[in-house]
Amino acid sequence: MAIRVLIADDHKIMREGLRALIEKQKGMEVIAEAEDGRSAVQITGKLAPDVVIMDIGMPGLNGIEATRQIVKALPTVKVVALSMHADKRFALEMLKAGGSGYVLKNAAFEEVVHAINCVMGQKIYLCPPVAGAFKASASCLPIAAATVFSVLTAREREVLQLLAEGNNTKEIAALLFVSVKTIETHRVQIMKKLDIHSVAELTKYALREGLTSIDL
Amino acid sequence: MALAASHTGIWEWDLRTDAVSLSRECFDLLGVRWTEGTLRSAMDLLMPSDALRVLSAARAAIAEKSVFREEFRTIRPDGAVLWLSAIGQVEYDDAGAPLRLVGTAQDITETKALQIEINKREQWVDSFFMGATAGLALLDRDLRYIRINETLAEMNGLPAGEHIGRTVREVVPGMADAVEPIFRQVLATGRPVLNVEVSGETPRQPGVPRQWLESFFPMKGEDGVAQGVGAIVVEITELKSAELALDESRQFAQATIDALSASICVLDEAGTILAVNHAWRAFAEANPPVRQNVFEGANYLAVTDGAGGPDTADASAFAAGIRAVISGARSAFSREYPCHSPAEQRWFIGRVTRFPGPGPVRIVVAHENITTCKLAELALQESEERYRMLFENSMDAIMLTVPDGRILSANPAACLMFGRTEAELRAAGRDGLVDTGDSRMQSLIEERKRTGRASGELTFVRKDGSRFPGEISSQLFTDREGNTRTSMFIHDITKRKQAESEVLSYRDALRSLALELSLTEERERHRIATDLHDNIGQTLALASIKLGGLRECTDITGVTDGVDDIRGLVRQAIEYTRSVTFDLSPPVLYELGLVAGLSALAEQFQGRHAIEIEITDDEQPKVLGDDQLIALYKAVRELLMNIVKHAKARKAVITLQRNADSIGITVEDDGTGFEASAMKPYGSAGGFGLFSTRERLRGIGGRLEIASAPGTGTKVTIEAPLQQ
Repeated sequence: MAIRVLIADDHKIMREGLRALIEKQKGMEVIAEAEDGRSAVQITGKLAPDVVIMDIGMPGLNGIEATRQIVKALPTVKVVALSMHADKRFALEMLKAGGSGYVLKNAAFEEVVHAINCVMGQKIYLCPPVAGAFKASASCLPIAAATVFSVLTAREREVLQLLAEGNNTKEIAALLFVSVKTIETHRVQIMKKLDIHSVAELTKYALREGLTSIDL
Repeated sequence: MALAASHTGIWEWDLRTDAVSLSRECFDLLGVRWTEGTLRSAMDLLMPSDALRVLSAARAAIAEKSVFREEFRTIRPDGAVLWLSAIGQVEYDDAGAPLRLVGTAQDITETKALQIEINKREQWVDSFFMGATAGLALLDRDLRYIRINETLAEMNGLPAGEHIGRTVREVVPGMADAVEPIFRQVLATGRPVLNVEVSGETPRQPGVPRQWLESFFPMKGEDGVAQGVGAIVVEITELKSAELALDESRQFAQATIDALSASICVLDEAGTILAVNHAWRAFAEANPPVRQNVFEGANYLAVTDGAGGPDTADASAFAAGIRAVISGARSAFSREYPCHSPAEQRWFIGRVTRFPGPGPVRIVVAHENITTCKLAELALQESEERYRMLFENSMDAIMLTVPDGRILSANPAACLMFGRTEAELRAAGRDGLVDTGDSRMQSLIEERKRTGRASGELTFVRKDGSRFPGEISSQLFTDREGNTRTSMFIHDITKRKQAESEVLSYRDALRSLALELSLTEERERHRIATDLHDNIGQTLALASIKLGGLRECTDITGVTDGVDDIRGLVRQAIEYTRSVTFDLSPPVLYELGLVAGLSALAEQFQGRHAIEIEITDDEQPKVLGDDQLIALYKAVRELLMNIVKHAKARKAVITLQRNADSIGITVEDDGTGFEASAMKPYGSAGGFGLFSTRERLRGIGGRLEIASAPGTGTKVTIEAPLQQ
C-alpha cells in the first residue's frame, strides 16, 4: 500500500512541482493538495493521509499551527515540514507542535523521499543543516530524542550534556560562568521536564538520545 | 697862707700830758672854737665810729715809730660831715721815749666824695662787666687780655684770672685765626666791627665747632689812637642750629607741598601770592592759557578778576570765594570747574582755606585735577541713566522689592502688565500679584533665601483678577545704604506658553507621524521580505528541486555537470535571498515570535562579533502585535549594536519576562559602562539611536531605562504593554 501524501503549500507552482516528483516515486501517492494551513487541517481530517508535507509560511493558519491541530486531532498522521527557513528555531517549533520531520525546500528531492520514509519508520527526520545546528548525531533520530529539543531549552540541554559527561554542579557552574544555584535550578527543571529523578538516569537518557558520545 | 689856702691845720698831741692842741686852721676846718684840751675831748671832735680806729692807728704809729696816716670824719656843728686826712710823726726824746705826735690835718671831703663816686662807678662797670650775659673782654694792642668777664671766660673754658696778661692765641688758639685779623683791623682803622659771625672752638669744648656773634670796638687813648680793643661776644651756636632746624622744617614744608599733586599757593589778606608749590608752577608753565603772572608777588585776585572767556563765571565765583575766606565770612570755600585743554577734557576743584590760629591772614588756594573722579562720576551718572532707561523702557516688569514681599518701586512695564499704577502695585505687594494657589511660589522664595537668587514660572494676577503665566527671576542684593533688597523681573509668557503648547502638539503629531512612518517602513520591509521569500525564494527552491529531478533523468556527463553547477548557483541565490529576507524583516520574528526572533538575532551577533549572548525567557506566553514585536525587536537590536560598538563587553544577557500585563526585557552587559546621568536625551555620538529607540517604544506605550556607571557594565530595562 502506497504512502498517502498530502501537500500543503500556498504556492501552486511548488505544489505542482512536488506532486510531480513524489508521484514518480514507487510506493507514494499524493492524495490531495491544500493551499493554506486551514484547508490542510480540514483535508487531513477528511482524508487522514499518512504524511502531510507542510509548508511553514502560509497565510491564515501557518504550518506550525496547522501541524499542532493536525497532530492533536490525528496523532498517527506524520507531518514533515518543507520550509524555506534554515533557522533551527523553525524546526524546533515544528517539533514542539508535533511535527516529525523538517526539510529545506532547496534540499535535493531525494531528501524529501528519505524524510517521508524516515517518519513512516516512527523516527524523526531533521535535514542535515538543522540536525547539525542541534548537534544531533544523525538526521534520522529516535522520537524520544526530539523531546530533548522540544522540551528542554538550549541552556538546559547544555547542562544535561555536561551532567551526562560526568561534571558535577559546581564544575558546570564554573564552565558556564554562572552560579551553582542557577545550575541547580536547571537540573531540577530538566528532571521535572523529562520525569527523570536521578543523575544516573539522566546520563543514560542523554547517551540514548545521542546528546553525548559513549566514550566516557 | 699856703696852709690856709689848702685848708690844712696843724695839730699836736703831747704824749706825756695827753694834751691836744690845734692850730687856728683846724678851728676853721672843724667849725669849733677848740684850741687845747685833753685827748679825750679832742676825740669827741671826731665821728664816734671813726674815733677808735684813729686812736689805735696813732698808738700803732707811736709804738712802731712809723708815720701816722689816717682818714676820718668829723661832724661840724652845722651838721656837715667833713672828711679829714691826718698825717703825723712821733717825736722822741734823746732816750728814745715818745714825746709827742705832731701832724697836719687836711680837709679831703671833696676828694673823698669824688673817690666814692669813682668807686661806685667802678663797681657799676664791674657789676655790668661781671653780670653781663654777653661775653666782654678788653685787650691791649698786643692782644693780651686786660680784662674779661666770667661769661666770656666760661665760654673760653678758663677761669677769668688765667686770661689776664695772656694773648688771645695763647688762651683760645682755636679762635685766634678767626678773630686776630678783626682785632688788628680795629686797631689799625680805629673803627668798630659789628656783628660778625665767628666760628671756631675753645678749650671748653675741644673739637666742637661753635658760633658766636661778636662786635669789636676800639678803645682810644687821649690822642685818638686805639690803645686796645673791646669785644662783645654772644654765643649763637644754639640759635644757629635752631635756625638750621627752622630752615630744614621750612624746606620740609616746601618739599611736602611740592610733592602734592594739587597746585597750591598761599595768599596774604590782599590776595598777593606769597608762595606757590611745584605743581602750581608746573601747571602755570605747562598751560599757555595761563598767561598772567601767577607766581610770588602777583595778586591772585587780580588774576581771577581779570579772567575772561567761557570761564568768567567760574573765575568770578572763585574770586568771591577767596574774598569771603579772607574776610572771615567763610572758613573755607571750594568749587569744581571745567578747564579743558585742547588735548583733553579736564576738571578741577579749587579749595580755599585759611591758616588757623592767630597771626597774619594767610589763605591757601589749592587746585586739584579731579578729571579721573569726574570722568568716573560722569560714567556712573551715564550708567545710572542707562539703567534708568532700561528700567523705564523694559518690556519686562521690573520691581525693586524687600525680601518680605513689599514693593518699593515698579517700572511702567510692571504697571502695564498688572494693570495697576505704581502706587497700587506698592499697596498690593508681592502677595497681591501672585496667584496664592500657586505652590511654586513658596519653593521659589525658599530657594532665593538659600542661594540668593531664584527663577521660575508663576501664575500672576492682574488688577481685574485675570491670571497670566509669567517667568520670574529674583535676586537678593544689598543697596548702598546696606539694606537687603530684592529685584524682580517678570516676563509675561502667555504667548510663549501658547507657542509651547503648539510646539508640544506639533511634537506629538510629528512623533506619531514618525512612528507611523517607521511602522509603515517596517510593514513595507516585511512585505518585500515576504515577497522575496515566498515568490523568488520558493521559485528558486522549486527550480532547485526540479534541477535535482532533471539530473536523475540523465547520465550524460556534460549535462549532469551543468545541472550541478546551476543547482549550486540556485542554492547561492536562495542563501542570498534568505539573508536579505532576514535583514529586511526576519521571518523567524514574525512567524515564531519575539523570543525566537531575538534568539536568531543573538546568534547572528555572536557569529559576527566577539560576544556571547545569552537569552533567558520565563517561557510565559507573551502576546504581541506586529508593531510591538518589531519595536521591541529593534530596541534590543539597537542595544546590542551599542554594546558591540561601545561597551567592549564579553557577554550580554537578554532576559524576557512577563509581568501582569506587560513584557519586561532587560539587556545587561559586562562592558565598560558609562555615566548614565551624563547622557543627553539625544546627543551626537550614537545618541540618536537611543533617542529614536525611546521614541519608538513610546509609540507602543513602552519605556526604556538605563542604569550604568563606569566600570560596572550597563543594564537597560524595557517595558511595554502586551497586546490586549
